[in-house]
Amino acid sequence: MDMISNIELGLWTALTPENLSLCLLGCLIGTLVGVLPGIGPGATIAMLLPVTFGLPATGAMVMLAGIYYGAQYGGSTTAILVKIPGEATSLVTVFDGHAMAKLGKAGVALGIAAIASFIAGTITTLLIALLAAPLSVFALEFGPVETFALLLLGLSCVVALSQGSLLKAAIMALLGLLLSTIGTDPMQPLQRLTFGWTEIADGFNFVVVAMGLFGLAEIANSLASREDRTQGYTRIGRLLPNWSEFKKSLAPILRGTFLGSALGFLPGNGAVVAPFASYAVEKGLAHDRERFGNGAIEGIAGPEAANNAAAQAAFVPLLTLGIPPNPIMALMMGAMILHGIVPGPRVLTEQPELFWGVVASMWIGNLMLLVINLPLVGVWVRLLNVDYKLLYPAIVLFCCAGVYSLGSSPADVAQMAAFGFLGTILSANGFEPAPLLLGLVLGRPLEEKLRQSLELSQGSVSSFLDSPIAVVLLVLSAIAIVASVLRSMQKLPSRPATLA
Amino acid sequence: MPAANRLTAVLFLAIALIAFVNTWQFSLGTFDEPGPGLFPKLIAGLLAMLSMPLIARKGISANDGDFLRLLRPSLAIFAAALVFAATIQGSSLARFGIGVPALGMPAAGTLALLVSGLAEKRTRWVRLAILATLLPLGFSVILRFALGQPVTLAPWLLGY
Repeated sequence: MDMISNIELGLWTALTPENLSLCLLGCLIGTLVGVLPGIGPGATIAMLLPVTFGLPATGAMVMLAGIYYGAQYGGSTTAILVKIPGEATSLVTVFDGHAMAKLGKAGVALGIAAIASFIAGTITTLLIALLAAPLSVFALEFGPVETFALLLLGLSCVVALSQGSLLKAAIMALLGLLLSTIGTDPMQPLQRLTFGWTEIADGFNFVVVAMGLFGLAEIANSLASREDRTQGYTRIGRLLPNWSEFKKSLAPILRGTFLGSALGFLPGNGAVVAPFASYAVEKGLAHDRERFGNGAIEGIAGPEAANNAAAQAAFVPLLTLGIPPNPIMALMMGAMILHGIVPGPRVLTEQPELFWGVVASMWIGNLMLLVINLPLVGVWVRLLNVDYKLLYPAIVLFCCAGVYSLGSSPADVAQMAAFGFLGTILSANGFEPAPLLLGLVLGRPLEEKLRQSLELSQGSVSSFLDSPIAVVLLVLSAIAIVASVLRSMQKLPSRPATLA
Repeated sequence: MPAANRLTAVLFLAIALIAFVNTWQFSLGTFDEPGPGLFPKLIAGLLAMLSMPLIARKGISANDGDFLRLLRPSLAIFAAALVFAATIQGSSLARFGIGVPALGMPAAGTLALLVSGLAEKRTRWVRLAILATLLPLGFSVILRFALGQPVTLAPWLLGY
């Protein structure tokens, strides 16, 4: 099938009343969690994973994807109006977005953020449609050696691009890898590290760990660092930018889109890095740099386009290579696995409706967000006043009941509690949970492919050097780690939290 | 008080050592036929190695204040989830002569939410009690009757 017929198939799938409703629901939930205090898209997706059991796979993915990019919109709204980035990806929007709000141009800032996200979403959808098929055909050629190298690259990038200490990120990734070895050996019928506990004979359930690390831990973190989200906001004013403002924003939007797409396609958390990169580019290109930080519209347009493009492009490594580039994509991977779908190059050929339906729904979702969110901005802002004391008990219940409903097992709830406690304590000490989750997800295939590679090559390590693809991927892994070691040695400013 | 950072690193080292010892019985195998012990031992070894520099660091970490501030909410949320786990189907700690009856989701949820109230210093208990009664009940009814989940409502009263 060519690109046009693929997009046509996607649109037909995404435009069914069921998928359209789920897309709308996802976008609304996403915006809500982007705006609400103490709950992010990671926690929400983790909590909703058990609920998606009852949905068809495509519908579930469409809804979860809607939550992801809907949260980017919600995060920008609070960044602009009350100087609180709802999500890490909206941090850069605070610089000029809030400055514009203080100048009485909050509506224009919100408008250009939404328009930039929509344009970026549209272009990225086309790029995904263009690149996904060749990439998945290429990925079908991968043997154990290449897959091992790719998994290693994914893990290296997550460690290299994580916030703060590289050492701590590496430790968390290793802990995740170690947890992945618990349960039955992937190649022999042996129980490892279960200590005779039958509840973990099949290893830790990924959803249980994710809900503990991102759901429960987030509650404790939010309670401990209560932010004052009830501060007043400035007048919104007109919502649409005028022609001169739009003209000024167009080039930054396009640059941000391509930068974001490129970073999103790569393993690592492109959606967090892309807005920073875009802001740096726009500031670098500007003749009057002092405007940046004081309400420069380019400082919103570029980063907003970049974060949306990267968020959407991040689906490509998951759907075509089976590698989740960030923790939210790992949760998406969990959703696919719950529905019996193995993420990877075969999704495109065996489940074309799912692949193209999700891709098309992203464009439709962006359109929905543009149409719905701007007129509703007042409603979203009022939600900032929701008392967290009312919200967190509901989240606790949702997490407990959600995990329990996975397999009617109280042991799952107890494990979630333990991971929640561990996640809170670790994140308080600067150990991010994201590399742990990725390590847990990628650990089993990583071990399996390593052992298969060695067996197939009869113990020759040179098989990793015989494959040009594997060599390139291994070199890229090394570059990612070396570059981040150099960065930490130079004490460059670290990036913000990667999730939720 | 020792820095929380170092304590965390000691925890990692302990985990690595436990994993290493526990997988001792599994063979490393050979290069052409790697055994089930290879990967866990390799990862445990690397984890132990990377934990060392953190243990060696002296002084109080900048994050120690955050760590202490988080203890109360994290313990309360942890306890709330454990209460839910222990009471929904009932459990027994025979060694201590403790038996917890199966309460079903609404009552287990109510108890869990009340325990979660300990996370805050200034919890409004009456408001929380109302929320803790209504929310789990409504949630359980939706799960059982609207979504068809096998949720027990009040086995001690209704038998299901």
